[in-house]
Amino acid sequence: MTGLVLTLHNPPAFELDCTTLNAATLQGKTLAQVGRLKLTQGRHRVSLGDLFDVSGDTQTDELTLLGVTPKLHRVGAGLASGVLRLSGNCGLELGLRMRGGRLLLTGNAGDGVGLGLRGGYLEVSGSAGDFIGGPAPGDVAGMNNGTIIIGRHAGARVGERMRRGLIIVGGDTGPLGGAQLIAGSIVLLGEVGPGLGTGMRRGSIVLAKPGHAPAATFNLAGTFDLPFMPLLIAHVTALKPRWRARLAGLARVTRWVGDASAGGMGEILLAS
Amino acid sequence: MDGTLIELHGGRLYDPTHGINGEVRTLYLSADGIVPPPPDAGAIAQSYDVSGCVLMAGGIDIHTHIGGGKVNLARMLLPEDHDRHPVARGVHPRMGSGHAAPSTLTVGYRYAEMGYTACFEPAMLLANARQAHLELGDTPIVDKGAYVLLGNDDLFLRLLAAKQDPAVIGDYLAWTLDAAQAMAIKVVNPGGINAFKFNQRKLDIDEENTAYGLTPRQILLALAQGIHTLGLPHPLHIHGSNLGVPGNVETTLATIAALEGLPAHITHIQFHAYGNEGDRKFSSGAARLAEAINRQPNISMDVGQVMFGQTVTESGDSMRQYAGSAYASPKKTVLMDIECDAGCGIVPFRYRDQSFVNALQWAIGLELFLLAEDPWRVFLTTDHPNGAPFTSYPHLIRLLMDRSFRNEKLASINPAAAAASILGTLTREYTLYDIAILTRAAPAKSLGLSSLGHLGVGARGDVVVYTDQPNREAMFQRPRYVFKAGELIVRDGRVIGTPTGATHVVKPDYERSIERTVNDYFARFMTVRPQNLRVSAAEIEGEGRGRLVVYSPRRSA
Repeated sequence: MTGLVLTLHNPPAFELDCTTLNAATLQGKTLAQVGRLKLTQGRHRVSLGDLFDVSGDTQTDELTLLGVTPKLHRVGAGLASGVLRLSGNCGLELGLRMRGGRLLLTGNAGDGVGLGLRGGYLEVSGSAGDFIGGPAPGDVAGMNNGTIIIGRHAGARVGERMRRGLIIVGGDTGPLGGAQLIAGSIVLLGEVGPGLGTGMRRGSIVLAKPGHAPAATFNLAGTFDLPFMPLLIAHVTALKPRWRARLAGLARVTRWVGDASAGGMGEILLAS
Repeated sequence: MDGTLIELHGGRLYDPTHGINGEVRTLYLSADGIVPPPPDAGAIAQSYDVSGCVLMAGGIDIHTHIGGGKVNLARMLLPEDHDRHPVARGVHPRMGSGHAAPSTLTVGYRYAEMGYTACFEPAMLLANARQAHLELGDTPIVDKGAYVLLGNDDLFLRLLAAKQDPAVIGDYLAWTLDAAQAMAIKVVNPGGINAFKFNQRKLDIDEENTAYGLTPRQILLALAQGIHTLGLPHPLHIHGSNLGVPGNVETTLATIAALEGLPAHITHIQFHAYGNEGDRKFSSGAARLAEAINRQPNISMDVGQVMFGQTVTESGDSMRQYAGSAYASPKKTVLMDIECDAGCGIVPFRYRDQSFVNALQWAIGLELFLLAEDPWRVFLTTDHPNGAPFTSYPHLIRLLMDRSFRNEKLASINPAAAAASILGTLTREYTLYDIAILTRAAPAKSLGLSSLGHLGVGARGDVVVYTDQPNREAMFQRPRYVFKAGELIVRDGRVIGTPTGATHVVKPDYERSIERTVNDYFARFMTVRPQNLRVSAAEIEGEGRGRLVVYSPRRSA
């Protein structure tokens, strides 16, 4: 393991705002200085060293957090470069307004993964909650660039009001996936909940598992061998080789256009 | 005498109410307020040496949007305003957040940190009065009060259109003040908010509201006459027509003329002082307006100074907020009607110093301050948060007191705006005595607050001790001590005590027969009954939550 390593030895009893925890803010500091860094816990300010064991090297742009718990919120918020590795089950708003770099979580995440994402690569090996890639608090549109990968299941409203970028969910997703989608691509490999693409204006929702019946406000446009599908399959396979077989059905897709109730021209592409 | 007696000695007092201009005097404070020197020096429990310091009464903000439906809507519309400005416990006694639309606790603490001890919410609808008082009740430390909105509500317009006896209209005004637990009456875009609902997109002073056939001039006159007859301490608080429209200085001058010599307060007048000259058809009308107001002793004004940065505009003027929504930054808006009484518009806005219009707005506000000859008729406001958050007051005070600093800032704004303004030629610098008038004595006098805004015996004991510094911004940002009702609440700019401030209300007499008219109207048109809207004294005072200070004006013949 390279870079700075923070191991949670004193799990917080209530919410800890980890906005400042990324390699860029810690780089070049001594380990003692890192330990004195202040974090907001609930309504109080606490020292990082009271909660984490600090070890490793602060000269690199890599940071590892071990023993993450669901009380840790906003981990990786504003991440612009470098690598942030997490191990454990993380709290709300992982990678909030992240702009670049790589954020890799081995475990599950709470609601709001990648809200307002502007760039970079965010991967959750397990499942994640609602509002993945949606608008950050106060924003009108959701993620604007970058890639989010959820290894297993995801909650409701994946990619709500997403503006640009790519979301891939390996497992099942909850209701209202791609709701009010503005643009961008969402690839869903498992079962999907009701209300897929409700109010979507543009963008693509790709379903690798056949059998889904889009809502009545989507119009069947035919079955196609789209030139961009092999490119998408190659891109996803490059990111997650183990999903290659599950993407095979996407070589030929049925296209549904909508959501007509919002005057939308987006598409739901179903594996044939 | 009740409680601990505190002595403040060696400081220079600025108390314009009593004509004290920087004299070194000793003040004695107790829980009863400012008291005469005790016969026995042994009675003094605490003595503070404040030599070299400046003593003033607690500041009074006569116009600041800190409670009620629109503030909460702004908070909901701008979660990022709270998200990006958290205040941890320890910085303040309790945690809070927000910059342009802060949480209630943060509002109280920040005002106290600057030495302000009374704030008045200028736009409370009867339909929202309970919400407004709940929020004001949750605002710590400061005394507060609210002005109830009238002049766009259907019942008032019906009474006026039916040419009802002015006495009946006066009774309705008094009933509303009583029901809403209000301190004064404000009119926003007279008749215009109502006209907006009938698809009118502008309403000049002599233009008829199509639904009622009434002009703003008639509405203003009826309200001003009613208030004058009721004997309310604060005159009609006017947010005029055509806010923010280039050339609206003509409307404002016509508004002043429409009052026919009756007392009135024109609020955030900077937004009503625009000409339409020059290449860009936007110019300063400050000189003409200031000249007119200097000649008319019946008119007072607060400025509504614009300061650069992110804020949010909150107003009942849905007609003008609708027009302004095209300039929202970030792009999101709330516009709504509230129980047919008035409207509401929330438009986030970022004032930029390199924008010609914004920079000229900044200069126009300062021109108005510097051209107004009588400091007793001009009050220091930014129309929080419409021009800027109230936390910019210390910076504004420095701009008024320090000409070289002002010129330095003038040189940094949009050059075309700087060239279009006469600000650079104005040499006036406000003195500490002037600032004490603008921020203490004059608002207290205008609102009829006999126990606030001065340092005489009998005052409530709101005293601020500033360390005299050449940098007036630093001086007014961080007082050395602030006392509220004789209790030390701020030391070195840090809040250490959180008493609950009083709520000031005015209760003029009225004929109870007006309740039949109101009940009939509510039964026919409204979704609730008047008693559902009425805020009782117990709701404000109950279980020690607050305290009412009631003013009972005498009706003139």
